Amino acid sequence: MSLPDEVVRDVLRAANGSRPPGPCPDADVLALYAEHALDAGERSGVEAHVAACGRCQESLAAFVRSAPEAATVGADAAGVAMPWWQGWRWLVPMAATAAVIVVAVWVGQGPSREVDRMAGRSTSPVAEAPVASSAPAPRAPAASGSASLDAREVPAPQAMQEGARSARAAAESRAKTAQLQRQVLEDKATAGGVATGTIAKAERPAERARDADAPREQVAARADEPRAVPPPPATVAAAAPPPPPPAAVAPPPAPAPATAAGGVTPTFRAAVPERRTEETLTVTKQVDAVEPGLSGAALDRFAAPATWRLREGQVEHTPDNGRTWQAVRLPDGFRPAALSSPSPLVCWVIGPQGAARTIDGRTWVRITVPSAEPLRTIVATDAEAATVTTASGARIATTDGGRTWR
Amino acid sequence: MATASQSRRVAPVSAAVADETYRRANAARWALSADAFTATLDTAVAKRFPDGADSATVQTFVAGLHAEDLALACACAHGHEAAWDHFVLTFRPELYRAARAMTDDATGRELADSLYADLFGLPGADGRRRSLFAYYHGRSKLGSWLRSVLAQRHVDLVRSRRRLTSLDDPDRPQPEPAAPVQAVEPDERRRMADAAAAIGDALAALAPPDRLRLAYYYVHGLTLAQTGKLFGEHEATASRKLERARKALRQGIEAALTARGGRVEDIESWTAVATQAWHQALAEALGVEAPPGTQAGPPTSFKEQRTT
Repeated sequence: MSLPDEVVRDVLRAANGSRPPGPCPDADVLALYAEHALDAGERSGVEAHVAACGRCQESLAAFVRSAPEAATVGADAAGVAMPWWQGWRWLVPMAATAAVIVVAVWVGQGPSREVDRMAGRSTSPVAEAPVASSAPAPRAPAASGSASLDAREVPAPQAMQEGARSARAAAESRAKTAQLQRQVLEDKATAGGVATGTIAKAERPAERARDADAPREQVAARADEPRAVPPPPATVAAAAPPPPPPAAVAPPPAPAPATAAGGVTPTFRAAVPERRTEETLTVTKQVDAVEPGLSGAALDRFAAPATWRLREGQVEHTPDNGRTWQAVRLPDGFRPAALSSPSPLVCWVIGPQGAARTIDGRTWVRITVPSAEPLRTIVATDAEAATVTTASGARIATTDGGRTWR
Repeated sequence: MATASQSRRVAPVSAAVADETYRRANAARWALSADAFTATLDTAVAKRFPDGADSATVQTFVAGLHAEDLALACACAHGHEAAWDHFVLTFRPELYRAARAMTDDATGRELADSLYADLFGLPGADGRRRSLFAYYHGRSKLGSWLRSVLAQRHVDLVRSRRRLTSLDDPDRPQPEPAAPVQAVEPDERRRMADAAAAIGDALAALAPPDRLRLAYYYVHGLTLAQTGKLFGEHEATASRKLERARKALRQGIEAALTARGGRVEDIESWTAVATQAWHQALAEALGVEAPPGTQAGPPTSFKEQRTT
């Protein structure tokens, strides 16, 4: 049995009221700490302070929320570049088991050869059954809810090849996703017709609300759509007024107004064809701008491997990249109608009773959605942010895991 | 005889190192004098090594500085126009973006403008401009430093607003009349005290990273991805370690509670009671109003029992 979230929150809030060791680090040190650029000694000291200081925790939380969106190939949603071996981590226990097999066979041949020699028999190597079938599979550190590294039977070499192929496919999919994310960033920067896409984006209240919590990147523009040609940097430089004189108290001049070409908010569609089937209703990414009247069935998806699906009214989860699917037990009486999974461990589900969510792939929590109308679709960008669309087309969004909706 | 301050003196940045850093920083493009830049380097070294350092350490430290950013900041602090033009083009859009991401409303623009004005600086009584750039020492990237300053200002503003409410504010919540003090059984007081102490022990026993993971996720509402970013971890790793921290917290509370003769079955109710007692005791100790949601009801284990 686990402590309720509210209790954990209250306990930690109360602890943050205690006096932290030492003064708060300055902005320079805090930035270095957040970006892992402190040496070990300095980092441990700062961490000990931050762990007991509510002010520094809030500052770091604000710092990470304001981080520029990651655009690194192979980077994950946290902007942390995944090591090249990350996708091959599953090979470690298998390689260790293979080594055990080899050693066992080699050692086993020694005594049998000696016995045969003593008995005058041929010393040709005897094919022995692999010892590893009875050896326990080495247990890799498994993520909660993630079955891919759970202790299992040692797979046969064919399964290893299949696993390698699926790992490569997963890595390629991640790289493609990151490439599409970069594409969206570039298109956003150029669609508004200004050199700095961030200003253009910020001037649109609707997009600003969506972007408030560093959402995952959106779908790329279609290749055949004309793109606005960005003006040369000199245009922006000429538009920016000079800084105020030293004696001026007035705030700095506003940046150049940013409007898209023709005043039309650009829309984006998937660069990959729709892959929806009767069985797979997994939506893995949020569309940046959905055209009015667009039904939930036409929501765009990336070509990422789905780990959750809705089939015949039952939510199912795959621990092995789609080879097998397991039915998931939802809160009592919950009848799923649609789901959205922004990451392998996170899945949001909607139904007539509202919504439910898991963030660890196993534990489901019922979430109340303040809507009297039936819920039609849900699009989740991460464990905390999701948008549901009601039968009348109204959209309700949450950025705090369903505690509040707007 | 050398004085204590002389014995702790930091080795100055050598002329060769200063010249090399000046060239690396391309500081000449901002018309920044070598003397001004060297003074900035000396300040950075003194800030980093308040207790002194040898030449080799100083040289290594200076070599690791973000020299170009430091030169730009130094030139801006001295009011060089070319540097300001470059800063406006390069950093101000990012500043506004970061401020909006932090505040998620119109106050983001005000926050960024306020910081921008302080960066530009106003002349003091002696006529010299005081720029916030003087506090940038080049250890981190200039963009990161700006976001960090912005974050601290935003948090300080929010925290000050939490503590202060205008007397003229019609929406200000009216203080509720204090509930009548109820006598608490000694056993119940002891159990509440045990629960609070158990929670305190469990939290103290948590490693700082685990405590931070829980705080980031449950108190500050960060996503798993954001929590992972602060620890340099993948989201899945962050999720796994967060779950482990939860378990460690619960096991710590159970162990501490059991050691005091408490019942593990009551852990959840006791934890809630203990946190209320904690809030109340902390508020009394600080002489401030207890946070909303806490009760002014039964006396806690930290107060004298009163009878009605």
